Amino acid sequence: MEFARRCEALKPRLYRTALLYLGGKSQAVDAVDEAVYRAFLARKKLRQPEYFTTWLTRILMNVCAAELRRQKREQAMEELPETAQEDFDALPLRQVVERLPQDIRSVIVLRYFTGLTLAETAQALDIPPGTVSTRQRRGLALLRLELTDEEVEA
Amino acid sequence: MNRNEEYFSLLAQLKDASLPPALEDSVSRAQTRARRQSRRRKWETSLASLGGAAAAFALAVNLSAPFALACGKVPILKELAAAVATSPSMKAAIEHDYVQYVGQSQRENDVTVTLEYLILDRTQLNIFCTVIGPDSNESYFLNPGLSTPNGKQLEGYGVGGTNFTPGELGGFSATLDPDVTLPEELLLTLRVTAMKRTSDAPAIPLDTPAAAHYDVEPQIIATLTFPLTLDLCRIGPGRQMDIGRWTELDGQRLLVQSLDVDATQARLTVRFDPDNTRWCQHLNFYLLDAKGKQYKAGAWATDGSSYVSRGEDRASGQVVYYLESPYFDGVGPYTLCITGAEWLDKAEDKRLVHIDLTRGTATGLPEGVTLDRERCQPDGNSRRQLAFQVPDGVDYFSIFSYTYYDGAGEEHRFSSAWRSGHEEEGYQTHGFDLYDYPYDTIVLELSSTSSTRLEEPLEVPFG
Repeated sequence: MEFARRCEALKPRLYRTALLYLGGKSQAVDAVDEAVYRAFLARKKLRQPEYFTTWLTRILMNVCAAELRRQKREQAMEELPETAQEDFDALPLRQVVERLPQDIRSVIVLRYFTGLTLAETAQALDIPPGTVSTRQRRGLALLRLELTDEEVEA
Repeated sequence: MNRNEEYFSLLAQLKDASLPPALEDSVSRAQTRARRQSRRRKWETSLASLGGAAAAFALAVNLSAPFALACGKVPILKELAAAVATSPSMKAAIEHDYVQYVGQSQRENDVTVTLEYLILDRTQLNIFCTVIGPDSNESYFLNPGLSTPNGKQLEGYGVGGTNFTPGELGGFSATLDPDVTLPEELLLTLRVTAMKRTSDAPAIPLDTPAAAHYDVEPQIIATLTFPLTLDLCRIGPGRQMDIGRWTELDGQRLLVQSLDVDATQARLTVRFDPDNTRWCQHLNFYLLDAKGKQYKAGAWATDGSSYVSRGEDRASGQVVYYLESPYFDGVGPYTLCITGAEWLDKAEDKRLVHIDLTRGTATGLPEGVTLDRERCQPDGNSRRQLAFQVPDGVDYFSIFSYTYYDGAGEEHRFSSAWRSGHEEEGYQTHGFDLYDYPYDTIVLELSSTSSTRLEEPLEVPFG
């Protein structure tokens, strides 16, 4: 079954994405499970199979965003503002990623941990490539990372 | 360890991390959940419709003599009533004994089609049937054709294919020319194709070009021919009301010419003044009778939606709009209530939008519509989007036609368009995708240049 085969191939990346985005293993498992289910229901709506990766990633990001909204309703927001550079510097990288403002975190996770290109990231998040560039630049600055495209793709 | 080293270390950790066992069978879990959901939905639907239909049936039999009489003649009518639940005209036709029971089954290649009923009036033949077949088929598509008993194609009819869920009563409609004399004997030929369940569909190689997935002609798995005997005595005479009243909307003159009324649908003929400066692309209206009962625009379509008419015929300046029928219970005099319209300017220069892709500027857009510059940036690959923001409250069925002219003036057509809503921001985005487009300019053709929505309907009394 084509859908199953492609899902299986993509699952490790999806899990990695959800894990970094949401922070917890069980939340990441639930998010991937839910995204696969939603994708299965909507599989016939995908008109261009070559966009399967960004399509499923986008579904996952929507599931993750909904989960974050639910969490925020239940507990105090843990994101740090962009101005809190000193706080960012004091934390391990993984925790900094998890505390980035949500719009920047989405871009950083997809570009630097999921391995999507700039164009694919724009497509997965449904934002213009220019916006991805801007958020990517701000995110890298907050993380104090200096990565070239070659290093990311390697 | 500096941040860059920390990054590569974290990335390696994440890549090496094994997938949690809980995710191993997520696809099969999704399939099971979807099947369970589907069964529950069907069960809830059938319970709800059964309950609703049973209650309505009991009421109808007790309160309505024609309905009780109709049910006495035709078995299992409740299911049919549920199938046409969205259409007051079709329900009224059932109550008034327009249903003819067919009860014929045919089978080929493990696919069985059972013709259950037909509802016939002067201008429409509605056929209701069920399809069952192997479990591996998720749905069926029936492509019908009508011919005379000697195999000659019937003249003066139009019919489209319809999707069927296995085991569920569904229908299709043939539109009949009222001037053509319908024979008592007909042959109905159904060409059946099936859509496989995804789990049983053959795998498609990943390197297959996208177009190849959708351009494959589905294989006909059964061709079934049913002899139909039509009870023409049950067709009531149609009625035509000449109206002949001119009115004006948005500075454009229109003649509400006539209303043709049959049992299952009515048709409003409107003629537009050739001197108008705009073509009418869409008219929003409803019909009101003397008792205040409303008849909506659009006629019953077998998929539960409505047939609507769009676009003035540029040669004749005339449109025939479908609407629910006041055939059985309408009481005159009537009032046509026009609530809005979409227009297209006749002046060619007003129908074209010139876009400078480099500067991100557009000239000639309808009022309120703007180019979404941010979304129109190239994505670094071969794709470039053309996106436009349309404020909520501005009624456009579609703003652009699919035609565009490239930087060299060559005419092309977009293969697809998209639309997305942004309720919180108060606008919609309409757009197209361009691939490998080498020019800095593009000219789009508008489908509508203005629209109007009336707070108080424009009333045209008649009858």
